[in-house]
Amino acid sequence: MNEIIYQSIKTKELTLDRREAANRLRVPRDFDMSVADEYKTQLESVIDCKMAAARVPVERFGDKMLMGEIETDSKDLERCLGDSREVFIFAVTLGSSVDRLLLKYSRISPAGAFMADAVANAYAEAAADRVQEILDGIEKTKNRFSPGYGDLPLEIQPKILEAVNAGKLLGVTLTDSLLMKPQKTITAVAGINRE
Amino acid sequence: MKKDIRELIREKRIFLDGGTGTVLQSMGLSVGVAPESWNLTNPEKVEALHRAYFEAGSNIVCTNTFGVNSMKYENYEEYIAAAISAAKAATDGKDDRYVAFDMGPTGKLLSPLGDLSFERAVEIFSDNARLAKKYGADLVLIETMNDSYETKAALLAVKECTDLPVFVTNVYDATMKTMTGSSPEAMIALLEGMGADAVGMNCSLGPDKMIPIMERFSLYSSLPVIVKPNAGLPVTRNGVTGYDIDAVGFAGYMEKLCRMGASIVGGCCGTTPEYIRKTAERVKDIPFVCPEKKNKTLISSYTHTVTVGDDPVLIGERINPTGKKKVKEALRENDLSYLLSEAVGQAEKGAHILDVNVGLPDIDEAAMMVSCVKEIQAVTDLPLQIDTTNKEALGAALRIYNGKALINSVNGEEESMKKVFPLAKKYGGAVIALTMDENGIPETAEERVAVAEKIIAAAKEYGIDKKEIIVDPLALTVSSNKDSAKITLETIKRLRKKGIYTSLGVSNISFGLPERDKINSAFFTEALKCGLNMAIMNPYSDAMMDSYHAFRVLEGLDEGCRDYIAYANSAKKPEIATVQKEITLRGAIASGMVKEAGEVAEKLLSDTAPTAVIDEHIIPALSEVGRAFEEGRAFLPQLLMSAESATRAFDAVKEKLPKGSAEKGSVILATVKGDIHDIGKNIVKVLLESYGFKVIDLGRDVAPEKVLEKAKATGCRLIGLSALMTTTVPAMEETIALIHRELPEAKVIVGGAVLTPEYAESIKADKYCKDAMEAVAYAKEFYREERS
Repeated sequence: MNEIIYQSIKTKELTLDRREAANRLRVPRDFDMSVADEYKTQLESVIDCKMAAARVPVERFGDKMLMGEIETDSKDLERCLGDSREVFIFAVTLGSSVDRLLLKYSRISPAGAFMADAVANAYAEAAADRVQEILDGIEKTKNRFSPGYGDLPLEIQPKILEAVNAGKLLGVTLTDSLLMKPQKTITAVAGINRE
Repeated sequence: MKKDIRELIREKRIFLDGGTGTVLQSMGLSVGVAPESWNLTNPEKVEALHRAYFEAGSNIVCTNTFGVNSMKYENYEEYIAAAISAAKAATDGKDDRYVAFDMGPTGKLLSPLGDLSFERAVEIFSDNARLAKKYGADLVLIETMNDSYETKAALLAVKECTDLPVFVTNVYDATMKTMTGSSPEAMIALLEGMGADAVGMNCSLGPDKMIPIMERFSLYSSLPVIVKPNAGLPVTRNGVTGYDIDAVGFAGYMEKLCRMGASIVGGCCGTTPEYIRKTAERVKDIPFVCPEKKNKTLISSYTHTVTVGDDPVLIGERINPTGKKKVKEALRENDLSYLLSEAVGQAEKGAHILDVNVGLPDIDEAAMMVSCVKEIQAVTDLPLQIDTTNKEALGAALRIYNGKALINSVNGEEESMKKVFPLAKKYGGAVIALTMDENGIPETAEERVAVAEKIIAAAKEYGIDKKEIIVDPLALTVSSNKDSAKITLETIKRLRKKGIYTSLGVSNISFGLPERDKINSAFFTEALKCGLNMAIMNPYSDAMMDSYHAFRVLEGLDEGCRDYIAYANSAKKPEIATVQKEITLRGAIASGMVKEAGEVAEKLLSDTAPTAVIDEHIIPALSEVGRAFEEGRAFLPQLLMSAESATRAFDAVKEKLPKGSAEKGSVILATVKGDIHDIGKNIVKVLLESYGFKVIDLGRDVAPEKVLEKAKATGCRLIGLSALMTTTVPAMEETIALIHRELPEAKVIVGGAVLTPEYAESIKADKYCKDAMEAVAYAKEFYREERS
């Protein structure tokens, strides 16, 4: 069985990247973001961040790659992994209370819904950054790559979640159209640097 | 003969089994292969596993069916039959060995957070429950449930399809909540209410971490408590993953848990027959204590409970069409946004429970009640009081309600009790009982108490405990009978003496009088002093909230006067009216001051014609912000805040205009089937509304047929579709094709992150809108052409 690294991440360990938040809010970097402060505060009070990661070997067969039990022919992922012989597969979620908050705003305030969603997305990225910091403490990692980007299809999501036992450990499930729930969840593959 | 397990769990401590998957792996099951596959390929090994547990001391083993359901496997019956057969074989026909059918979660999240509907979940669990019965399981164990709503669906299915005993365990994390936020008390209230036979916790934590959760179960549960922990936390030693608590350590903690009252014990991930053996040996001398009945009246939502008792409970009364024009209109037009803002507003004002009444003569009350309850539960976690005299509406609402509701109401009439009690029994729920019957409302306190006692006795016949009945002694207006307050107060006192809880619709006392709050608040204080436990009231009324907070301080219910001080400080904020003079409507809209925009508009309307407010204030302000947005001087958050402000101002204007005359035309909006992102759609919605278009919002995950049906029913021929995922764009294409085929004159506009103008063209959309402003421009154009 793969070793699974599973832990909670405190909200104060998440560093919101100003540029990321500005991008998500579709405002310039020097924009006065106090307009979103209310949503940021509320999100911080409900984020329950948890991660699960597995370290698996990568094998390459012609056009295909095998990462643990997961087979893929994604060229973009292959490029991102470079010469790594091992990868971390991970999932990190902000938890379902964030979904509850977003659901509430979607019903009562479209402006609030947009801003809360934007800030939550920025927090999800911050969570993924934090996971990589934690993993870097084990083995130095390269840039992460997520399903849905480039030619790595969302169809790989069930296998990724299974590899880190995300259903049981994080409560992450998939909808029929392969969206993750809780919705502020990120899965990714990060190559491990060879010494 | 085999004793019913329901009797046995009240006579002695019962041992469950331990882990299944982890033990099967040690017997050769490969990682990544589903444990249930062995039911068909290696049934003898599954049987051996069960036998090992029985021999270690388990009284009950759980079938190897955790991951089996009709959604995952077409041949689920084969799996289930084989699993039950293996477990039964391991009993060797002994009467003291029981087989529990193991029912795990579906692996999907239920709506509104996920895409599995509640009724679909009930169906999936029902498929399993019927087979559990058919193949002879002795009971059902619903386990490892992360979500209260899914737990309810499973329990309902077992209850509806079988007469088997049913145990239920949930997963709690170190914060003592389930993944979707339920406290142990909330789960206990829900499960006891629906008639589970035993409740408890399993998985996720080791036995040490379950001790604080057990503390709460022992305080609240009247049912035997199940504890089935993991063997601690997963650890890796020499490259092998195991758990950090061994069988002896495990047994030590289990002893402590048993002393705290756990009476059905076993293990979960990482535990083996050895863990059960050691536990059984360790606790054999600890005397068994049957859990005592807790006299707590609990109402719950999906997160928490409200306990009825000395500390008064406030039930917000605002979601009720009686005498409220806005609510009536909102219900008739199926526009729930007003009701939702009332729900959020009352919660912010400090209501503990919200009353939901949607009774209007000309609407489908059951359907409306269901959508209101669902939507209100999406915006607030307060427990709800289902307020209806319509049996169908009550049943439908209690069924889909996520928690244990308060039912308003039953009365002493035979007919009423026949209608309400079976539903309260089936779905759980505390019931408000009005002290009236076939003979009307008694004139004396003595007679009202007699009616209350009659109702409590009748409830008992239905298996509903006295603690679940909260009596409303009825307040009748003092304007028609000078003694009516005195009678009500006397009734409260008498009921209190008998240990019966009371609730009161306080404001009825002043019906027909001016300045009603003055009377209501004084009466409220008197009623509280007589022992009133719950009040149906208006949380926006300062006088009522003053009475409530002052009472709690004076009765020593507000530790350190903390709640009062917070309340008093929040009430001190400067009145908006004083600031308001400076703000113009254009200014409020341009700077996105939502609340102020509504207020300034209302003021402006006192001396300005409604059409002038639109043409000279709202539209110019919006145009200014729209222009700034297009020129890159303003950004999306500002645009949205302005649009929301304009919508609020528009709402004020609409009230002054003949119905419908302010509307420029309607637009149907939907996020397509399979897609549950609705941010983009909501942005378009608020902008369209701010420009005066009526938006018929079908929400997210909307099937093509539903869009068509709505277009046909409303006559609206402008449809906006949104999709955010590459996986859901085909559903968009399908919807467009259906609309164009059935309604060739209709236009479909599309937008969403994954779309491009070329792609939109390829799926035959009439217009691709790159942002919400483009959608507004198109809608204006569409209706201009239609008119000319």
